Amino acid sequence: MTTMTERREDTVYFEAALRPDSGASMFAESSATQSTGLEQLRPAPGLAERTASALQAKGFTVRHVGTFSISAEGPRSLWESTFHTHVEVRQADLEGRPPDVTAAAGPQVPYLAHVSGEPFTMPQDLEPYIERAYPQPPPRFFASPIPPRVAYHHLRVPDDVALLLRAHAVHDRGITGRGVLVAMPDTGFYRHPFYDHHGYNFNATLAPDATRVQRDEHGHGTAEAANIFASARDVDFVGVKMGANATLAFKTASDLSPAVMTNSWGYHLPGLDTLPNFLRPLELAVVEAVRERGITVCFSAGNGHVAFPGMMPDVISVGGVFVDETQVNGDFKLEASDYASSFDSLIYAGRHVPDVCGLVGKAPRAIYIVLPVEPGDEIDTSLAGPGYPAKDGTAPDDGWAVISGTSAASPQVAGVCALLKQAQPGLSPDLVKAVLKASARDVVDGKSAMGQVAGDGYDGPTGAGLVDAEAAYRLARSVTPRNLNTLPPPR
Amino acid sequence: MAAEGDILSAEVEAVPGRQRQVATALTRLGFKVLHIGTTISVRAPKQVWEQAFGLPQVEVPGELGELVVGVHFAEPPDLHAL
Repeated sequence: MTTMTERREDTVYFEAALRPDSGASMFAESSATQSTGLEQLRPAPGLAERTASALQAKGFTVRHVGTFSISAEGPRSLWESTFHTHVEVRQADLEGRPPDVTAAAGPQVPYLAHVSGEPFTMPQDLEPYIERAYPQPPPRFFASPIPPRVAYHHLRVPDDVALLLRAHAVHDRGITGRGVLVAMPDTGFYRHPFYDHHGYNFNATLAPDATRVQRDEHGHGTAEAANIFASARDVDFVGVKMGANATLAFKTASDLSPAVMTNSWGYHLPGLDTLPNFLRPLELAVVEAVRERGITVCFSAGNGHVAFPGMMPDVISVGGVFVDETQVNGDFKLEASDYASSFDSLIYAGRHVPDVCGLVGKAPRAIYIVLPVEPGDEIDTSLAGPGYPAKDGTAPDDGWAVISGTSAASPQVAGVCALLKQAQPGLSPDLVKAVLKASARDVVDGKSAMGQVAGDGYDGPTGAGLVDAEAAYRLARSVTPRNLNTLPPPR
Repeated sequence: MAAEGDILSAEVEAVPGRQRQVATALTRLGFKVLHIGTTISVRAPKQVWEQAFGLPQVEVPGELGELVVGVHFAEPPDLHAL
């Protein structure tokens, strides 16, 4: 026996179609099996067994005797001499990649296929039994919509993340993000079966300098986008695949005028007290998005990074809280993630990062949330294999990886922002941030990647704490948005 | 700076209100204008950059001297998952 990845190059794996007793044929027309009753295609009693014996007598190995066909295999030379034909070696990509693949190929397996135009003659002694026989190429494997099981403490999307962010209770009130557009610039957005299976409105487009909209060669965007739907299952989502210029991807997403944007990336600016000039355009684009277009913009705080634009005062800066599997006083224990950033910006005076937190794993690699990726992409292959916490225990081509980082936290919180925008479309970005901070769950344990220690109330590593979707919704529904310019000046 | 082969991407900062004029001039110089907003997203082969802006030290050419405030080359961001 062999597995799909261990197919032998010198063996023909084939299906022999048994000759129906009625004289009908499953090959009579393309839809023969749809228009013809199965009974008409059934071979005479005992014919399948006689055929199996005949094949075995010729030296083939019969693996299965079915109602309509026989599964068998044999050496290339035997196949070619028996049927007076020729086969050739071809390579098959096992992964469920789109047909426009031009990047690095994934795992491939060789197989023997009939050479087009070559004759094929059924031996006289098999003619009464077998109508036709076809070598079988390996199939392509598509990722499962259901994540694999791993043996260590982890979270699954959407349910675990929604539960811990208390989004379920908001969904139950009919607030699910419906009618709210959320945009996300990232590495790409592969149409993983997970998204279709859940019925999510998951769309992808390209920044003007990007290519291959169906692909996510890295896996980051495909994975992290799932966090949005955990918080807000009915949002209208569009992912913008980045090319070489992240600012361009941000602007492209902003031009769509979404209600909410989420960004799981940034630039590491340790020790700098002024913004490098090359980042001024991105800063301008963020300011325009928030202040002129009214877009609520979330950025990840970084994983030990001094992250920009996560440090900009205009954005909601999202850090990380780890939720243990143990319960204390009937609730899960919360602690600051030692993988997530916290710092005071030297560039923007008075700005502390983060504002609030989403769910993030712990050092060394924050392997925490099972997320969908394009099978065989960089993340899928680089994290695969045993050895948690260095490896995630999944297969290198199964389309799933266990990751997090503040890359996961930002889209989680963006989803909660979408809930608030559905409940109160007039909420300004500042008001959304204020509501999230006012309703967050305090986290009093743990320390951040920078070593800041959590404590009672607003603290360094978690800011206001873990976002609480239900409490935020209760606040937001009662807020009356006002234009600050129309308020009387302070006395 | 972010580069694909010898293609360089950058954001060009124009005097407010003159973005379209700058974009037109850049196009004439051989740049591909990808987006016009608060800044102008462009890309071009290194050779075009060298001819127009005299890399590695950026010098704004005469016809754009009064209109371009800065040229900022794109760099790849950190992804905050791994």
